[in-house]
Amino acid sequence: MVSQIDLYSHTQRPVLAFQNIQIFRGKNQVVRQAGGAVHQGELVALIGENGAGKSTLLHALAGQMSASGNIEFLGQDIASWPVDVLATKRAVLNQHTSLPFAFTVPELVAMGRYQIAETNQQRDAKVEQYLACVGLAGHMSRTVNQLSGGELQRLQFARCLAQLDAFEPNHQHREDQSAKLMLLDEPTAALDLRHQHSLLQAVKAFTEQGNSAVIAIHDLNLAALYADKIMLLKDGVLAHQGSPSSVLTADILTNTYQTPINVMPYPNADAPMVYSAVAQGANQLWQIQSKNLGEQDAQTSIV
Amino acid sequence: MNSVAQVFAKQQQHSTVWQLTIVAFVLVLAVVALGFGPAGWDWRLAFAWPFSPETFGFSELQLQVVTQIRFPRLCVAIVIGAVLAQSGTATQSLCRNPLAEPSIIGISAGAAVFAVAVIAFAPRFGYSPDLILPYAAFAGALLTTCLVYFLANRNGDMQVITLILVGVAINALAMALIGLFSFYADDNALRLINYWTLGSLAGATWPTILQALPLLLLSLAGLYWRQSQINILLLGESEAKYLGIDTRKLKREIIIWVALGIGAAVALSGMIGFVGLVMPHIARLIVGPNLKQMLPLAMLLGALMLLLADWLARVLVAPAELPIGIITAMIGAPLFVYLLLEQQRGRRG
Repeated sequence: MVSQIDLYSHTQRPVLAFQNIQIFRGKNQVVRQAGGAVHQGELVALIGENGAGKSTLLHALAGQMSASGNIEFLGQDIASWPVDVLATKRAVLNQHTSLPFAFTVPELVAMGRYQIAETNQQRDAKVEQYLACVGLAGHMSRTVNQLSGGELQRLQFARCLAQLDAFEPNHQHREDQSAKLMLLDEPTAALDLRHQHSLLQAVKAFTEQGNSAVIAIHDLNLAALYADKIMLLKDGVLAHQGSPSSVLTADILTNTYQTPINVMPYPNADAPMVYSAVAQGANQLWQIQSKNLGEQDAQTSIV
Repeated sequence: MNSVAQVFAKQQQHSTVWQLTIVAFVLVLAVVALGFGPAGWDWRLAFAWPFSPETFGFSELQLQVVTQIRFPRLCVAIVIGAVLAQSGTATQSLCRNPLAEPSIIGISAGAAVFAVAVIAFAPRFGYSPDLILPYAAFAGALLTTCLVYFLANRNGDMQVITLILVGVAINALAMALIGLFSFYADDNALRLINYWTLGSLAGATWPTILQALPLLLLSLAGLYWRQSQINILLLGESEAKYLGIDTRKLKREIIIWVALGIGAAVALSGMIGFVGLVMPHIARLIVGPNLKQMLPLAMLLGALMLLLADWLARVLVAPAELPIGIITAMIGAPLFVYLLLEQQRGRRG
């Protein structure tokens, strides 16, 4: 009997490994120095301030952007993977996607199954399963332009789940060759609280089956609750990586985000909880201003 | 609540009903096109050709008009209509833009420039233009498609405004070159050139058809074969790549098939605009953007529109004949404006 710890022990070859990554956009060096590894069963959160290079690094890891350095997926250079094979092992969710053509909800998810040889009945069953998983089973006959931003994001996520058949039990999950990888760019950005958590729970369920995921995310508390490992980008450098409690400290975060940040234990979970130390001060400042301006003026100026 | 299978089945059923309806319309119009024209105005003409002239009281000449003029034009109208609609769909997918169309973005004009150059200059060197015409038009279409693609492409997406401006520039350049070439052309070539720029199926005789038909059919088959991949390209280039499609190869293929189809179509019938724009649009409004349902319908609608336009071109000012491009533009342009407004109101399309 192999224990959980042995199973995901870091002595094995990582699912995704990258070293010395440097990425230029025009003359601008967006990522200056990044190196790290994502192991089987790990959910990695990529955090950092706006413009730190999170999305850029994520797209480089997806093999979509030319970057200097090494990026290996399952021990093989990402660029040397045939796209059709890669599509069965790795899914990517982009942050901004325009859809000028109004496909129906199930059509979009079915496209995720493009590389999989199966009958239409099998495909339809998968589409149904993953639509239900993101709570869109009731929107079956809608087209994508009839969805809200959050619904669209969940729909695209369902496509990624269907592409990797994410919740199919991964029977040979002790061999790293069967590990699948999901790269998600701000998957929770447009979602309400309930759906933020249900999406990340789905990703967590995916990684717990011996798969891996990297998520670029702004919400530090979601990162703290769900990630096994945090990678923190600052000015294009992967400055810190490690467990949530080792990276999400008041010192590191205050230094990174250039604003006072405090950390306390999460009330109902074994994780750090991050909050802004500015909030109290801002409130006081606001009260002083309102007194000076008179309540009415202040309220109209806020609107 | 509907199941996925039910939703898909309903979509397919809806599109099959529409396809059969359009097929019925095409058949009716085929009878009209064969039966009614300046040389004889009787629906029975459409069915009289296998019999001796006396059976229905038609003259030998009338039956010859049907078999040698009306029937080849009928075939060409159907094939070219389908090719134009399909190439339009493919260009729209390539540009990820529902307003991209070979005649608007300059591909047809590029093909016409090369065709006109051959007409104007080939006789001077002692060649007959007919033989090389489809291939020259193909080369022109290929060159322009690549040009448009590289000029307007920004990370796999094309903005409407860039596309249309590139199209305006290429069309203007093409018209200037066609004008320049006509300057050097003799009278005979001049008449041909004039006919080229407005489009006409009058030149469709069996020998020219047989020359262009393989190219047209190849283009039809090539694009039809790739429809499920083209479908996914509609999601965006990076998405398509992540879903396992070799997008560079696919885009190259689309460019070649579109250029082949448009080149051969222009060689055979000149520049016919709007079919490739309006028919895919209508098909999308009816059955949605999925190529599995939309492409056959768009092709059938293209065939229907060209058949109708060619018949009108023959009968409206009989015994003279209008260029077919005038008719398609007169039907297509108002429809285009209507669709544009409809789309802006946020309807499906």
